[in-house]
Amino acid sequence: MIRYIFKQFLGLIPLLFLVSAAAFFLIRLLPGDPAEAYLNSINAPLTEESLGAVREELGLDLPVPVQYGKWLKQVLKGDLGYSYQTKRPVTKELGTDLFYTAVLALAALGWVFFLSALLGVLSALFAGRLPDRLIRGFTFLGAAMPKFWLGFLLVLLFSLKWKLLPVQGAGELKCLILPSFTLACSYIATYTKLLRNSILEIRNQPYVSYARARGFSRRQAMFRHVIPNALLPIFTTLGLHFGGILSGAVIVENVFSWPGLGRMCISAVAARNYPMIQGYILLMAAVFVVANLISDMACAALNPKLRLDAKAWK
Amino acid sequence: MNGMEPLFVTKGLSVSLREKGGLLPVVFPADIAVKAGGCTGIVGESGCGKSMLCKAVLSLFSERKWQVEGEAFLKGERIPLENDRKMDEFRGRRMSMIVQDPLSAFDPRMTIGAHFLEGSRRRERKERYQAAVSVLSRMALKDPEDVMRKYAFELSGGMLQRALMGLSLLGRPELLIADEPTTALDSTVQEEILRLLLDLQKETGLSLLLISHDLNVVSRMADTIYVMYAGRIVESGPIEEVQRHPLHPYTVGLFASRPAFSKERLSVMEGRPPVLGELLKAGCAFAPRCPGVKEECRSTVPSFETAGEGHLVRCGQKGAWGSHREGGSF
Repeated sequence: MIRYIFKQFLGLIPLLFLVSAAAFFLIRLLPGDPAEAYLNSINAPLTEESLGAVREELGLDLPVPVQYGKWLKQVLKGDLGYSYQTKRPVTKELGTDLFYTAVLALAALGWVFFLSALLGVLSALFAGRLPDRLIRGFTFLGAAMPKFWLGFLLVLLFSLKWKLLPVQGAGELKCLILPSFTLACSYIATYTKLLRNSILEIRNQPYVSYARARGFSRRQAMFRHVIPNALLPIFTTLGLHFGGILSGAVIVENVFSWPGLGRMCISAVAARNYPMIQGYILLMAAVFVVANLISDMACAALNPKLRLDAKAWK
Repeated sequence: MNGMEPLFVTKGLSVSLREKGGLLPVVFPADIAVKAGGCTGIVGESGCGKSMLCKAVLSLFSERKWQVEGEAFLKGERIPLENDRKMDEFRGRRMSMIVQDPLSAFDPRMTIGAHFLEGSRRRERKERYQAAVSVLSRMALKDPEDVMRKYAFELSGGMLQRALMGLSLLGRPELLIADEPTTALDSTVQEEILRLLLDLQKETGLSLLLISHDLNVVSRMADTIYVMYAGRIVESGPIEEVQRHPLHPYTVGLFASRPAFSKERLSVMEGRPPVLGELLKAGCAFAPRCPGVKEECRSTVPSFETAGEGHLVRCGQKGAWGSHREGGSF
């Protein structure tokens, strides 16, 4: 197992290298000049002279491959450069934003786990009857509704009309409720459906009816054999979807003014803040791979067949 | 039977599939008996309803899909087939089952040992574990504790069937229903499992309801045989009697198509059994394949009639169905 994790981490290095190159060159294809954006942001006059000075200061006067070489050297030392906008180190900026995004994403995961487990099990237990139909209606809506629209609707209802929850902010726990639920909603829909179908399928497995033949009640068979086995595919796909949750956070953070990576990324793109964008892309790539790795390990821990296969491969 | 009350009997037990247009019979009312410490065999082609019958005995059907009628008795006590909760007292404790494919009978997420410990309270665990080890070693598994640490997919077919037998006998049931217990195994392992079942019967007085399509297995194990065709029992009786004087043309065909080294050629029954929807047609279900079919066979379903000591047959001509018989025309 340790060897497997180590291998995955080794695989991360060439991947990050490729991502860094792609990020570096692609963002330089964007229209717009970072020097101009920089001067605009500090309300300085745009002259040939000042532009040249800024370009020189930011190292943008060098040929692009040379810039990449310099940047890569820095990155290998653990330094992602300085933000054009705030002049603070990119690593520090990303660090604080990552914390807020991680809180948001984990809260969303919590919603997904809790609600899709509840709704999925209910839906399967009442398959074809009223509760199932209601839940299926909800999952249909939840999967079809765009996040920004859902976010606005929730704000309208809970914040403006009923005044239960704040419109925005990040200081308190109750500020977290609306954004994380908005982020989770479409995934709750997906996983509810997945779990429902998985339960209905597992319920017909011979080991379930055999558990009944051994004298276990319907409920015992359901909770000991059907649901644990039905949860396995949920864990597999959750790892794959974690990246989706992070990118979905970009929209949700902007709707709710949540000070996370997504909002930072949008403003960095608008300001052509190259070091921040590059840092963001690198970080996301690493988070994606690590999330997949964690879900792989969770699956292996839960599924003895995978676990023992992995052992045999060593 | 021999004046002794049998351990297990069914009275008019039938199974039907609930369809939109009404009920579709799968097993017609059947009376089956298993002697205490004896073995009753049910034979028939795949799809004749024999597995359905044993599932019905344990009431393992979803009520919305299947309708089970008739009664079953264990030691004179009525089995509450219609009450799922009361059935939990019977299933696994007084009646238990082993199946054709033991691999799929174990939860892939749990070790074999976890199946044995399932449902036990913490203070019962040690005791249950010891019981599991002893029942598994009785099943001739060399290292029971090692087997209990393993998952089902790590064990061979023969070991799995032994483990499953151990699991089903853990609750010391009075009746063991064995649904094709050796079909998925190769012949040497099959032999070992059968011998093990025979030993267990001798030692513990276990009663067996053995379902098989393999006449060799049934004639070796059983004292009583029921032959099923298209959802109906067509012939029943003591195994020696039925073997010596098979009366129903289907039974005769089954015995004739049984492989043996003494035979140069294997006779094969022509045709195929009817499918589910065809079971409601008038007349004897075997008529289309019967070598001695007469006009009346196609219009009326023959009743089950006595043809000898404990020997019953469901044939309109009571075995007098022509000169083909001695020649073995199948």
